[in-house]
Amino acid sequence: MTTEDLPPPILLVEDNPVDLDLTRRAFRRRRFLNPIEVARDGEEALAYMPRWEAGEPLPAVILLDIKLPKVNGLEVLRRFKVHPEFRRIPVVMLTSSDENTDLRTAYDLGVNSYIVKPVDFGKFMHVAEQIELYWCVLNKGAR
Amino acid sequence: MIGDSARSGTAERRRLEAAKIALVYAGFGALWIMFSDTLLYQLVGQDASTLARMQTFKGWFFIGITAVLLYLLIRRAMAAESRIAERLLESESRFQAIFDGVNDPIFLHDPQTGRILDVNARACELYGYSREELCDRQVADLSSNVPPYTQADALQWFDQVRRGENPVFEWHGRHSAGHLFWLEVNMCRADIGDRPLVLATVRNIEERKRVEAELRRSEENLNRAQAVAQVGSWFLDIPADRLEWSEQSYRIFGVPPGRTLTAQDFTGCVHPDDLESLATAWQSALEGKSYDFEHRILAGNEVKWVRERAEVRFDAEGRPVEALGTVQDITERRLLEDAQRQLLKHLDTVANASPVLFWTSDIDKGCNWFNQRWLEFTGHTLEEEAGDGWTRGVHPDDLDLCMKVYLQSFDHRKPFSMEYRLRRADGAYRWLLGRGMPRYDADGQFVGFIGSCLDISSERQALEALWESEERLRLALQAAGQGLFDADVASGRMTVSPEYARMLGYDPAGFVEDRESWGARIHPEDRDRVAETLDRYLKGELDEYRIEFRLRMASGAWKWVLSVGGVVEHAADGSPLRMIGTHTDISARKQAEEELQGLNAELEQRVAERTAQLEAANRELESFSYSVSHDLKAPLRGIDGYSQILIEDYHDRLDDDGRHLVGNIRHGVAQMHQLIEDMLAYSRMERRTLEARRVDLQALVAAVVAGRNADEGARTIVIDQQVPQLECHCDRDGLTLVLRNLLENALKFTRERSEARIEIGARQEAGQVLLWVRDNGIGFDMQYHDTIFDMFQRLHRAEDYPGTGVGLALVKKAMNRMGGRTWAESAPGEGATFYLELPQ
Repeated sequence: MTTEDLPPPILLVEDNPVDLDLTRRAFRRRRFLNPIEVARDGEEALAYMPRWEAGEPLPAVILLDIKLPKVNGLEVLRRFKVHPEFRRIPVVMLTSSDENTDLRTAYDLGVNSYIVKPVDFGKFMHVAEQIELYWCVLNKGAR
Repeated sequence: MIGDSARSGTAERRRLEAAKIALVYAGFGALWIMFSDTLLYQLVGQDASTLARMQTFKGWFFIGITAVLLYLLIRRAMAAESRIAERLLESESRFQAIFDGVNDPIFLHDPQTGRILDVNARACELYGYSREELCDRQVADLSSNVPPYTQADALQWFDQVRRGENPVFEWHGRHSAGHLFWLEVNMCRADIGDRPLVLATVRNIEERKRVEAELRRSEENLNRAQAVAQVGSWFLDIPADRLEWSEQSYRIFGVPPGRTLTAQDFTGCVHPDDLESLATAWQSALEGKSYDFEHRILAGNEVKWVRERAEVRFDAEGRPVEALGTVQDITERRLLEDAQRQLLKHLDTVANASPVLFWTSDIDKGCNWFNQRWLEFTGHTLEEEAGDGWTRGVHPDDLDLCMKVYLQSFDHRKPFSMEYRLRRADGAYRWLLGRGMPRYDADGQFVGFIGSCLDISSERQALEALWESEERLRLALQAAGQGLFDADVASGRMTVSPEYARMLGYDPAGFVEDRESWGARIHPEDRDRVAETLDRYLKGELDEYRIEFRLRMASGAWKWVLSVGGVVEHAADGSPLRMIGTHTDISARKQAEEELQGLNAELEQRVAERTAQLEAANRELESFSYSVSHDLKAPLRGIDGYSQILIEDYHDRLDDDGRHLVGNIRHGVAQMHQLIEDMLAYSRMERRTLEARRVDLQALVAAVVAGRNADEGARTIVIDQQVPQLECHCDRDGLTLVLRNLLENALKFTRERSEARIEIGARQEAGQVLLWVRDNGIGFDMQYHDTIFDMFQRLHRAEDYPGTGVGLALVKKAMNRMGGRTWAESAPGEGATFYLELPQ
């Protein structure tokens, strides 16, 4: 956040309009400066890769749901994490699934964090805060 | 030709007819001359001129009358002539047709010259000549012309015919092609046209002659064969009392051949001493019994022995009709037997003086002689011992072997030697060493066996003792179903026990085993393994020789045996010399093992199938739970999120009632969220893979207690942990979940108590681990002790004791899955105790 006009975007991959809206609101309440880009399914998420290759700024963090239309979140994660360059983008699974298998698979594929979407909105706000603090602020220098 | 004679007859008849006409004419003329003038005078008178005129008329009249008469006579004669000629022609052609049509060749001869006058078509065929050629030939040309088939011989036959005989004789004819053939000629006289001719009907008998010659030849052969075998045959026509003998029979009985015979002729030859027994034998033959009888006959002044065999045939009423039999000259055999008997008598004398027991048997295997020593030994008479009577004295245990050796040696004409027990006159059995060998007569003919027996009881007794101990071992092995082998390592020779052979389905008597046959008996799949084991054992690489393998049985089936053995003798250099071991039949065990393997495989298969089904069901359930957790929770998040935003952002625009309602919405969401979480936990418990391991109960309980929700308000809570140092084998996460639920349960239902006392204890009990969670809460009525573990089953209102009704259902499910069980004891107001029982 030194010389750049805008902080890097956050890529939110979420198909559920309610979750999408709530997430956006949560971030807005935290007064996030980062623009939020949205992909509504796995394919749209993967479509960012050629754009990044073309020079678009890489996201500060990718928030990835698991249950997604077309290409599921774990597959999207795998594709990002096998890419020599994009693998460095932090990916946080943000999902309603607290199944052990999903959790283990995600970590095996190299996810940076795994967050179960809380039903309670207050907790959701808390989560948003953690994400911002950790991945967009503290971790920025590491990129 | 035949027409000639007929024609000559006709000429005669014509002559007669002409003479007859001439005679009638002459007679009539004479009568006319005699009476016409007299009549004229009477009619006309004496007038000369009238008379002369009338005379002229009379002449004319006579001529007219005679002309008419002649005409009539000649016409009649000619008509008769032509009728005869017609008839003649008819009969002639009929004759010719018959002559030619007869199936037998016919010759018509002039008996005086023998000239052939006529032949029929068959005759031409027979001789291969045309009719003209045949009629040109002399009889001599048509025969072999060798006496008695010459021209002169033929003329003699013709003479016989002329004398009124009808000779039938055989003739040797010659065909136009030159070959000779046999004929049968049947001659008779045939008077044709007043001439005595000879009609010869002939028949080709070449085939008959050939058959006759063959019959003669076979008869000769039979006669020759009978002569060689010295067997004659005979045939007796019983009702006609006609006896026929073959040439050899005549020879045997010394009767000149050719005589016609009756049964009397035969009985006349029979030796007077044998007549009676012969009559008896014959009588029984007439009653249908077999006739095989040896007797003496008087052939000339010589006494002969004959053996007669016959078969009597009976008619439908069962009366004897005829008998066909043979007679064999057995005089030589009889003489030989007599001589033999004589010799035996001498031998007897010698043998009886010997201390050895002697015997002989004849060709029928039956013993026919024992020496005096034998008879004294057994205390029996020769008659009692003869045939197989002696076998009654053989020890019952030895009889089978004894007979087997004797009969087999007999059949193979081989000498034998064996030991067996024979009962002495005093009742004691004595061991004998019996030897036998075939004996032959002077011509080298096998006539039976001769043998000797030596009492070897005392030698035997020494051996007995040894045998007895061996027998004990053998019996022990037999009782254990084990076969014994004793192998010479270097040569590969083996001695095996009867059980060894029996185990493989062989008769121990003829069973021989050696290294090679043993090796061949091993199942091909086991062969290398066995060879290697044995080899390594013999080299000293293995401490013991003990191996299971399959052996081929006599039936071809395989038998599993356990072979155990050891080297019992070593050479000076330490190399093995002799190895002894046993075979144990382990087929039953192997079969059981195989069956078990089969069952296991089947079971595994079934388990795999069931597992696959379960896995499929689990996958379905997983995807269901997945959907529940995602799709049910997503709208909840919306409701909760938006209601909170509503409260926070629109706080001012809502009155107290509105805020209360939103609060209720959020409370409902929280409850529903809890329910979903509980159901997910339950379903996870249902399908999760348990990892049973050793769990330290003390530590686990402590962790659960420490991890409880601390938010319990102002009341005093005492949790008493009564868990000794104890381990159980179970799924740690499962048990943690159970205990946490029970602890929460206890905390929940003690909240009315100012001091909640909760005891968590454990103890070991009969291989099980018993855990309990006891509280001093409100308790429950025991009538609900089962239903409380059911899903969504609650005993209290949600306002009083919030909960989803899943907690205890989860406990029960987890316990079931871990192979344990749970139950509860309580009374209203008295607190409750929940028990857990787990396998240790």
